[in-house]
Amino acid sequence: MSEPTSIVSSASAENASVRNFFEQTLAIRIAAAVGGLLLAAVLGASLSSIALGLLILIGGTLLGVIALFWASLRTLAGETVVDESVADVDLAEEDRARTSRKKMLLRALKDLEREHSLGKMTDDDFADVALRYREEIKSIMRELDDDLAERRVKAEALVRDYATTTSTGGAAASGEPAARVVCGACNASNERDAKFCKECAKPLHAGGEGDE
Amino acid sequence: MWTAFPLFGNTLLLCIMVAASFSFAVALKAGADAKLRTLLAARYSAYGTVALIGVTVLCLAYAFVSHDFRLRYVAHYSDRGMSTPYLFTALWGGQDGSLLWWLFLLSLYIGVTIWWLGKKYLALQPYILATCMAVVVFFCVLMAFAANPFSTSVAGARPDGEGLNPLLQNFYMIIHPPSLYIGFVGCTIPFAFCVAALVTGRLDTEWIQASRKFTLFSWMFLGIGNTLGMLWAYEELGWGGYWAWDPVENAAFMPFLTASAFVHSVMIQERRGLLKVWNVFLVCLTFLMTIFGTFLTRSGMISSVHSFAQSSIGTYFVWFMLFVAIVCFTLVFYRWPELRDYPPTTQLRKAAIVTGWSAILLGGPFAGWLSSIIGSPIITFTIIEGVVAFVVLEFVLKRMVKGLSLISVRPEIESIWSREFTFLLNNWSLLGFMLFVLVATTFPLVSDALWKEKVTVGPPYYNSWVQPIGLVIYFLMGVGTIFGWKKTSSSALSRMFRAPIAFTLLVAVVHLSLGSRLGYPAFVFTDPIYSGALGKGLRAFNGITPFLGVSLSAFNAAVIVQEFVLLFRARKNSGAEATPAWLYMAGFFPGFVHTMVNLPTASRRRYGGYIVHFGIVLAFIGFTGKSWTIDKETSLAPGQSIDIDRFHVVYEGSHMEVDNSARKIFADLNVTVNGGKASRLAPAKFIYKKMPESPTTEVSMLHTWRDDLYAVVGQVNPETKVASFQLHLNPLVGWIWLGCLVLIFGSFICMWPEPIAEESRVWRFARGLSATAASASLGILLAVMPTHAYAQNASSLHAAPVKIQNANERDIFGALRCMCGTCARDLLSTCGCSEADEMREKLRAKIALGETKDKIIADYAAEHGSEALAIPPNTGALRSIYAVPLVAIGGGGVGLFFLLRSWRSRTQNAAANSTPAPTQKSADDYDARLDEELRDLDE
Repeated sequence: MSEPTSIVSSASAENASVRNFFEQTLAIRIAAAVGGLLLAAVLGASLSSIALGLLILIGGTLLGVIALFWASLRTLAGETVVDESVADVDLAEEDRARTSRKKMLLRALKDLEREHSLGKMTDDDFADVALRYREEIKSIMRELDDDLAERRVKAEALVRDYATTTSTGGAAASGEPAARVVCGACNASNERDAKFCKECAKPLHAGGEGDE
Repeated sequence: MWTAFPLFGNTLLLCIMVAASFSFAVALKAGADAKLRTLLAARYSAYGTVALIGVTVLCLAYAFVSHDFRLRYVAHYSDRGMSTPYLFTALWGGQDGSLLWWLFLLSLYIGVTIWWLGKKYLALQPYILATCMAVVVFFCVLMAFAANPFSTSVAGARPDGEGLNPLLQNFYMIIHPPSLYIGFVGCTIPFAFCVAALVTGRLDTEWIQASRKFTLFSWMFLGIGNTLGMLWAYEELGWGGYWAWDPVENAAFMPFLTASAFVHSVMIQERRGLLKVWNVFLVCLTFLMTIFGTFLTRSGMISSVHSFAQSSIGTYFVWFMLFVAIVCFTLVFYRWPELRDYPPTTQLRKAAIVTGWSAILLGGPFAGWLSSIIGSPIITFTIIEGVVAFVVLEFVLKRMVKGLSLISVRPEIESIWSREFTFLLNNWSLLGFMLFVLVATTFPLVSDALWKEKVTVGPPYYNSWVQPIGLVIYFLMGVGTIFGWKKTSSSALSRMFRAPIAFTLLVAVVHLSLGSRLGYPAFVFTDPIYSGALGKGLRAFNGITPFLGVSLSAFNAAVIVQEFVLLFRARKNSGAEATPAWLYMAGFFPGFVHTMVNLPTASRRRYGGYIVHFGIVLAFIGFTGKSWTIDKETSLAPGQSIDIDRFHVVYEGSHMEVDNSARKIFADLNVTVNGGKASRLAPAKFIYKKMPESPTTEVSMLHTWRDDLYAVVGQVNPETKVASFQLHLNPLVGWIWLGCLVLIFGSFICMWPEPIAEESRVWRFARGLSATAASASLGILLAVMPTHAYAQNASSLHAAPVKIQNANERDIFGALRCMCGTCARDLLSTCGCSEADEMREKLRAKIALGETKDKIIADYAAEHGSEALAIPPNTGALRSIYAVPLVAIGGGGVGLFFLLRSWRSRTQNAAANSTPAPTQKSADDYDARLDEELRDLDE
């Protein structure tokens, strides 16, 4: 009974770390630690002397320093779980140039509209310049789309390949990878790598034997 | 008390060095292998380093609190009698501690930056961390080897410390240096972003947008710090003014100028993708200027009001600046193709690096060495520089890029009549101003090194030269505001200029006709600083500055008001105005803030900028007021009176108060305005027990919105009670402080956080308010925390009432420096030390003999060397003090002209090539998508 719940909770913790870096998910705990340390220091200062309060602060912060470097070394040594998927999916350098140029042009167009509404540009001038910008933005959009279309073809081919080689039941036919696994006992939907059903706790091997 | 405590402190310093080096290495590794794991490790270790710096500061605090007088620093800046808050302020009271404090502020900035970066800008992060850590390492090396706050005194622990100089206990003295520090230190962060962008080659607007908040924040604090510095000088130094062009003031002012140029020129890059090299240059220059400023303060190389005792740390700064410059130059050369939109090939990179470095090396050290052999250094240097540039370009660059197709895909601009161009002018003039101040500040060093001639560059020099440059910038500020982005239609332009010019003319006519009657005459002529045509020209210009200042202020104010009127009209027309009317009814301001905060991001920044401009207008009105200052020196017996403008001042007598630390002698003045309301002033002399030989001057002031009556008391005869007074009537000074407040408000509007789409409006407002208020109040808290960051020697407070009998005396004393050797840079017209008194008597005797002013000054210079003159004599090579910057500014103007021409030719090409095809209606779905994206665009 306890095993499935622990899997579920660890999964949700991982989801949180996708959104934030480790230390930022711990914000409340860090704040509590710092608050506690300050409180202890203030207590020490008021009960004995400011010097004692400072010593408590020094000691506490030193502990923090050690913890941080410990965390750093552990991470470096590969002993912590790091969700590498957090990393920005960098667009290809060329696309980056294009999208940033598109953004710049869009911003320029917005500027134009603003200047026009403020009356710094006559209607004729605005129409003339804005049209030029629009054409350029559209041509970039078109290029990006063409690029995307090329990639879509490739991606679809990859998906098709994957579907044919793994053949996980009905999902393969529609060209989508089986993202979920259906429990054979209670029909609940589970993560693909789950070993037990999260509803009825029965082993899931029976339903998705294709993977192992 | 632990015996090993000093050792512990020292070890901590070394630990920071190791920790920061470790973080540096890990961060570099993270950049190289692009693994999230390594980056996370670097982040943790950077946090660790930050915390370790905190521990070190706490340890020093502990040493102060526990009176550990084994530490030299503790013994020097505290004693057992000091209250605990003062013990904490002593933390950054002297040189060694203030370096640690600097490092601490930097670590706070780094901590905030890492946290803020979070998951954003993953590609830049490693190098941002690495750059910050490198700076940390430098400060650690500096402290560990040259200015160690944990070093012990050779003689062992003393029973009691020396305590803080009582002269330093003034409110403004306390708050202005930390505020400057916050500005100074903050400049490191944009620099780190810039280096990261250079290393990764991601040189589009990403790094600029990422670092914008930090840039604005440090810019604002540089502004606040400079203003507080003025307030301090005004309230405390007792010579009646607020800005003396002291080297340290200049050092704080120069990064402000370059940062101002930067916040303007980045906007062009954001919109055009132009000026990439320039922006990188400005950020690096701003950072270098902050380091240079610290160097000036600490090295004691140029005498100033602020200098710390001379020490060896100057060399460290020089090496660090060199290192930073070399790294920046190499990176810029390496990224030359990206920065200039050329195809990024290895061949071009190599060519750029070789060309750049050979130009620098041949042009710098080699030309310097050669010109020092040949003689007349400046001219030879310029010639050699020209030859080198030619040789390098013709023979190195052309050969190395042979066969490459150098077609730059650079963006073009539509029209010269655009804000883009006026921003260029703005950058040109701001940098020109900076260069002028830089040359004048370092001129004593240069002249000593090149011509073995010691000179002094005093306030009169700056005051007469700076006015033309300042007014040009001021003029461009208004003109630039009128122009819109991209292209301003000529009909719109003439319409926009109409109202401001009409208002300016009106104000000018009123000023010309009524000015003299109100006490603000349009023309005020002073004595020329040089004899000859140059002096006459400067005098003529400075004579009309009050008129120009007032007229341009009217122009600028009118332009800004017009912009806001246009904004409100446009919002009303488009129905975007969402501010409830009752907010405006409730005293305009709440409604105004609401509107500003709810503008779209780009507009908000723009109008926030205009508010900042308005603050500058107010400050400029205050600066203009300086022309109408009235100074009076007098001796009064009790009961006697003196009139100064509309004030009637009666001296009623003196009284003395004694407390533990000092005897305080007050002179009681009764002031009536136009025979009406009476108020009291009590200027004083404080004689501290610790230093009876140098009494301090306590100013007493009557503030009105029109002017300040500024009273200082000199000697008070204990028997007859006859007292000597110095009275200044300083018109419009209060406007400067008001202007600074408006500037802060405008910066807040600019820094207001971007809205997040899914937030409710109330929550958004609350978040914005709390984020802005929290960051600002944290900064202000750090700024206002009592500190004595500049361990000033007492001599700088020599300023005291000096009895000057007539205008001729004022001219002569104002042109000569006190040569007693302890006064930093005081002129005979302000220095109150006994030696200056003697000197004045001697000179008076000469005047009585009928000697001319020129002869007296020449004799004085012959006796004491040209150092004794308030400004460098206008002869020979010394002319280069103004010639060099002027030539450079002129060269910049020529460069601007060529840039303009290239832009224009590109524009015309673009106009010829691009035939906007209105027939291409096929892509209507793209139009719809474009409109949608445009609506969602929120930078």
